[in-house]
Amino acid sequence: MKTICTIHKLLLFSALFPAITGVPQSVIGLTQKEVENVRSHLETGEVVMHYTLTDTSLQINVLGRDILAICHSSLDPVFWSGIRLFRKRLSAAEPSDFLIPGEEMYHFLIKPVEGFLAGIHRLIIITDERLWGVPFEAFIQDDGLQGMGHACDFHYLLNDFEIVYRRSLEIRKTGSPSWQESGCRSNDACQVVFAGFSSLVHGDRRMTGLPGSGREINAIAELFCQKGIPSLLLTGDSMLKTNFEKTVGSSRIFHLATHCIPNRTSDGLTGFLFENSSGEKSPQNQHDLLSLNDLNELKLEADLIVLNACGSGMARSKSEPVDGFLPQMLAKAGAKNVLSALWNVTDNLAELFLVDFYRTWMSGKTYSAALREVKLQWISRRATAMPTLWAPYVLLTN
Amino acid sequence: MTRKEITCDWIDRYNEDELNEADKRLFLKQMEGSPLLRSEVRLDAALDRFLMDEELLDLMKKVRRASAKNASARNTSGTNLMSYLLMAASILFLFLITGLFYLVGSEKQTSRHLEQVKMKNTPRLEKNGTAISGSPKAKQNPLDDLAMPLFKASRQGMLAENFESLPEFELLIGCVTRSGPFALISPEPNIAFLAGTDLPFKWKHIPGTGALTLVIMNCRGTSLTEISLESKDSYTLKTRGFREGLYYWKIMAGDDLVTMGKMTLLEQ
Repeated sequence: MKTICTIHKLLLFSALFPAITGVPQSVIGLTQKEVENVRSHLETGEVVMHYTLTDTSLQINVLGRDILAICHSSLDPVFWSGIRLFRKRLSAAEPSDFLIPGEEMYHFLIKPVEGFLAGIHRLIIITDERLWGVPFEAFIQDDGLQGMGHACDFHYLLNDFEIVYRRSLEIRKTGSPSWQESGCRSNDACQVVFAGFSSLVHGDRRMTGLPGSGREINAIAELFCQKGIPSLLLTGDSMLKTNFEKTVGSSRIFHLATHCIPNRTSDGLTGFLFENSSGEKSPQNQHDLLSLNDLNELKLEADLIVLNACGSGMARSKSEPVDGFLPQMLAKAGAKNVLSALWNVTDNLAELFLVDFYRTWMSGKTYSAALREVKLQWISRRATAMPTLWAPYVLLTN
Repeated sequence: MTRKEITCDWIDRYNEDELNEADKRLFLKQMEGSPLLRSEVRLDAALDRFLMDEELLDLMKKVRRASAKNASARNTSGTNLMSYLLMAASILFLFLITGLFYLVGSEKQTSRHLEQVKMKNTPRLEKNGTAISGSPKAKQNPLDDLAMPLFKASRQGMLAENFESLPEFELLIGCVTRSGPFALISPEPNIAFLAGTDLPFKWKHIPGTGALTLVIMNCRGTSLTEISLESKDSYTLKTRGFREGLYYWKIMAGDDLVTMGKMTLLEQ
């Protein structure tokens, strides 16, 4: 593997950048204006890690307030099969078979720039579609201590860094607010909306009820109520597409806990399950689908959208060549933060995870810090340490 | 140089410092690029250290001497505290060896060894029709006299292990995922039945949302078999040939978990 790495100090960077690197701008892939824009919005202790891949090469740009590192390396087919294996091992709930793939991912994607991350506590990952869906949090650092231990013993990348994802280098100071900064007001019930799939199954035994989703939205609403913030619950017969469309555009937080139906052939058949708004509950016409086509037409102002459904982070529009994944689509439509799941989540554990997330966020942390803290808590318990349970949740911030 | 050549021979030579400088540099470069190779080297070194431990070898010799002494003194002398202590130490030593083999992935070797001991000690018929236990050769090696009670104790340990649940899976038993059109009708997520009994799986599923696979795992989460569920809504799992113990099963849609359960098989 060939590695070309350069590091610059803050005071000399602007003046000496072309001379020190000796590398043409086209190789780096960023204009000077883009680089300065990124750096001006970063805080101390956070870096952007921008990945650009082709079939045979990888470039990692590391940008911080006083860091610039460009790392170019060649890739062999082992890398791509390693990515597929890593995701499969996580999504398939294989208790320890992800150790080697996790170490391989760290080796390819973090180790080349590891030396530039000293003193850093937050990684902002920007990838193209090839790496979207790969949870960086679950990469495993091979520090020789793992042995043949359990998932709770491994040293994950999450142990060292808070990790968020962005869809582009256009970084604005919106970021991930804490509870106090979120601006939720006590006089507007529609600013916080929770929608959960009904646990009643009207005779269609193909679609299981989700009792956990009902408990989840009630528990989270209770947390908000304790803070004096009313919320709107869409559940049971009120969980209708029409109600969603009326409220999502103006809400600050919109939380969706339901089935996500995948369909590789059509955007109109991929989406989230809602109750049937027509009132007719025939076995063939039980539910409504909020499809990707519907979501593509939204205009959003939400500070946070949570999609607590299986594979919601990987639902993809075929009509969008760029920003085709659902979180990216919602971010493009105006959502400032989108929390989604990269693979299947179980009803009961999805409930527990998100209740923990909101509780931790309301203790004064940012979304990304709260997400990290909940994941670390789950890793500390052997019963919940398997990355299958905590690693699917990723935060895309706009 | 192929990867197989490196893993089979070079690991040993590296750990024993028998590689020349050029080969060592090459090997280190390979290790740098492969976490798997690094793990194998670490395990091999640990095993070497264990087997080369002179104190353990010395203990083994003492155990043999004590066993020989016990065998001759059994009819004439009473209990000997020191001999019992040495016997306990030998049991512990053999458990440590067994545990190490397990760690380096030698489960098959352990069961093959146990089978050989069992076969040595099963009754067989001499030509004159007299039944004898064990083989003549077994009596010549004093350690084999220890093998009988050790075999029984370790087999019981193995059986207990076969029923130990895996904490990582327990929260997933009977889970429902938010993935839409799949509903399991049977079996119950946690059942116990006699080994050899057929187990029917039935479900409701909407086609076109992912190929379904049934995966059977042992109690440690190791996959034993994967079955493609071609039928639309049912499959019968035949458990003939399964040993008694706890097994987990999961149904996958593509690479994603859909539901999981566990079954305890009991010997008839």
